[in-house]
Amino acid sequence: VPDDLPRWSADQVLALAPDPSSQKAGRGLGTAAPWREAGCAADPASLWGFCQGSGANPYQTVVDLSEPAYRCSCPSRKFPCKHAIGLMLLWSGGSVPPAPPPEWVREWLESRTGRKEKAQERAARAADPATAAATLARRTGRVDGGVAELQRWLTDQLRQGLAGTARAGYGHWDSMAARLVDAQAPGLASAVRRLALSAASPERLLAELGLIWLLTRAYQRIDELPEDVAATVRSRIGFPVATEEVLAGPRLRDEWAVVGQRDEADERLTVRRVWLRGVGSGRSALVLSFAVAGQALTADLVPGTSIEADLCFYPGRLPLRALVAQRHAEARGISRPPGSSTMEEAMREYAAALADEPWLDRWPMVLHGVVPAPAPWRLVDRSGEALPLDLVDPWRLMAAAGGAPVTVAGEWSVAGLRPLALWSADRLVRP
Amino acid sequence: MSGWSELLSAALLGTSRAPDQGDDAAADLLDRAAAWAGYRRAGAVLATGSQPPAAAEAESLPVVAAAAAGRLALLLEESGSGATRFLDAATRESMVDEWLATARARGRLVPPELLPALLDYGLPRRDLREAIAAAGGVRAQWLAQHNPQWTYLGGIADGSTVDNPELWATGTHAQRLGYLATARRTGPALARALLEAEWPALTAEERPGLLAILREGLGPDDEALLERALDDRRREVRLEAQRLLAGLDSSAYNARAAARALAVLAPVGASLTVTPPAECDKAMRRDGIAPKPPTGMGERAWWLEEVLANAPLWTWPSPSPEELLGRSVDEDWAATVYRGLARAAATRRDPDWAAATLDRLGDAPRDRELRAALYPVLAPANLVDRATRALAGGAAAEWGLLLSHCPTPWPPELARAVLSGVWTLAQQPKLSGELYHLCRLAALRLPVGTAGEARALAERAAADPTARTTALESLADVLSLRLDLNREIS
Repeated sequence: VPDDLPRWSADQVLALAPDPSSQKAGRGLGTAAPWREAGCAADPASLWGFCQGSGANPYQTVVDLSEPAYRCSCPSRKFPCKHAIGLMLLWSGGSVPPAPPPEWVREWLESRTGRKEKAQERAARAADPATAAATLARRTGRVDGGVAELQRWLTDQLRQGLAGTARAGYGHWDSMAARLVDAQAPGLASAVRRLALSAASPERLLAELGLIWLLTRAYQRIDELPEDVAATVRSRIGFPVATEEVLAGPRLRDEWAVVGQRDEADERLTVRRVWLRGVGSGRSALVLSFAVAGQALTADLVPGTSIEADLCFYPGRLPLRALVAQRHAEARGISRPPGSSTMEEAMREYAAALADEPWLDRWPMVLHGVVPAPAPWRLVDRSGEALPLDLVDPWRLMAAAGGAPVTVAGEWSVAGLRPLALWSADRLVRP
Repeated sequence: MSGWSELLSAALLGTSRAPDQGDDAAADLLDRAAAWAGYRRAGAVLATGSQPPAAAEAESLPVVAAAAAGRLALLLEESGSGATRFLDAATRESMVDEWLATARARGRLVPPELLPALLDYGLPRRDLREAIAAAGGVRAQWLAQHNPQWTYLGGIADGSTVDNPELWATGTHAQRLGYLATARRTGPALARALLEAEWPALTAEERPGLLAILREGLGPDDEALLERALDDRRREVRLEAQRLLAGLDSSAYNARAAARALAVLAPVGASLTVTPPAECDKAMRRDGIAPKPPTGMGERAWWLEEVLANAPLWTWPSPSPEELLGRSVDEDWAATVYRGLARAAATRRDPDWAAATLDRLGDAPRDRELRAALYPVLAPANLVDRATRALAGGAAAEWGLLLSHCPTPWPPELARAVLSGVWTLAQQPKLSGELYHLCRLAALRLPVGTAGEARALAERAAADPTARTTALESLADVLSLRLDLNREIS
């Protein structure tokens, strides 16, 4: 058995956890105590072991590292369950010895190979061009109707005045959002749903309403718009872009530093945003991944590392969202990501981005030489300029910096900067 | 284009309510709002003239490695999952303590980003605070200066923050306490002088706490103030003064107590003559002799016990405690005499007297309480020796108390005795409560080097259908966790 299976970092493993409580539970099991007969193999890349829980029989846990995929005899509905996370952490710490896979592990791994082949066949059948064109025409008709209805609704809000709307509950926004979901305009739907968050401040509400209005106006004259602006509008409305289409576009090769990651979950779906910044190009990129609640998100981009890779950007005036088309080397650790040297420079970049994409709600910033300061919480640079922080408990950040200049990566929005990573003395700290 | 604020008022009011507005007024307003929104966002101006906090000074020690940091983060989390049933809040607390102590011993620091969680953890846990201050390094002190909740750290390692005479004159009670404690550390005489000058003006609430500050650096020069405090109206003040005066070997208080003791228990030849006190006078009460006996006990016997308990052990001019206690004594008074002397041994923390009096105590409830008070006073070797014998003898009540007071981690001979005791209990189904109790005690106190042996025992028990296994497995689990914890800190 070859024992050169490259191990993942603990951060990489923990990023697979479907929620913080699984992370916590998994870390509790990432120790030798509860495990028996744990082993790992390089081909196929897999881990397995028996975990003693509260019951009489130990759970059988197996992980296929190539996907990764998991199976465990425990009753948890989470994927991966805490046992799989614990087992991977144990392996990541170097405490799982190489061994030939036992029979029960081999059986499962073989059954998976069969299923993968069938799934590929199904995907090939769905890609028929005639079917795709008909689907798109149907969808466009629905979206047109939805946009017209939204415009009537928006002008109604303004006719009645926002003074009353400020007190409206979530239902006020959700019913309009639901109609937009039916109209197959999920981008508009979520923009309307998010209005509830701005409702308390008339200033923010009016700005957001204006921007949604602008989007509907742009959509109505989409045929007159330049191709890249039209693509931006379509994506904001919520037209899907096929992965194959994106991957067929031009590639940008660079060393991409992973500067931050943030997960946002609603009742059905978890979205993971991973922000990249090109060491050579200085470009920012956003890689999204989605998972149904309880399922694992991909974890192949780890903050604090960089990858030499080709990225393909989704079409648009301000290409930001991207797919990793091809990796050229293993990820390696970075001690300081590329970024803006002053806050003023970062704000200039943001303004330029807004000019291309007025609906930009989050913009990545990597700021060098800033100091987290308390009350009101802000980042201060050496010229005394300050950006407000959008963080409930910034003490970790403050402690990690210790009043010294550090590098902070985060998402800028109207609420302020939400830090996602901090580099202090070449060490990455998550806020 | 009208300004943003006019636009906002129009939007709040609603275009239907404004006069001379056409049908497109709402659409027009939205158009302008979009333009303004982009303008305002792109043109956001940075605040200027901000002062960052002064930087923390550099640490002289390195931070622990990532694995150890992860372990501490896990222990600090509120509801860590229990991989084993012993891993409850109390166990975790003890492991945090062990983590901090190990880091301190190896000269390693807590990573700065974990300090907020650790400082919060220390809020309700006074026992941990010193260890937190040590493993938190300079950064913890720096952080505490910025968060009023964490200022408790300031008082522990760094007195300079309260070195301000203004505080003594005008500060709150807590600030005055802090100031006097610092002053006492740097100049005991000056601090006493400050307190003496202020004494008559102090309120009844302030006196006990301030007087207790004299515990540090206590000396003969403090006696005058303490004698004065013996007459205080407040009981807490009198008790504190008695405690402090008892701690001054040469005090007049101790001399009075010794004279009283020799009057009631006189070594005459090879025996001890007992003359219980006839009364409990005002002078005795002033020195802390309680006049009222507990229910079921005669007054004179009680006064005898009190007088003996109150006396310094140097009262007894004997080559050794053993020799004195070996002398014959009137049988009616013997139990009372031993109890009184045992109490003196406990309060004065004398290991030789504790060992000598322990074996002469009886089995009454009060004797058992007294034994529990004497165990922590025993010399470690004596304690371990007794615990080892008690385990072999099998009296659970006794080894439970002894083991909980033995110095940790347990020395090899005690560890061996405990592990063999665990195995004996595992084979006796009727004693599952004792087994659980012993495993729980042992899990946090055995040296981590025994993790392997404990695991072997648990496996041996699993293979033996008559043996109980759960407690053994939990014991082995906690020990492996502690072993991991110890290896990680580097």
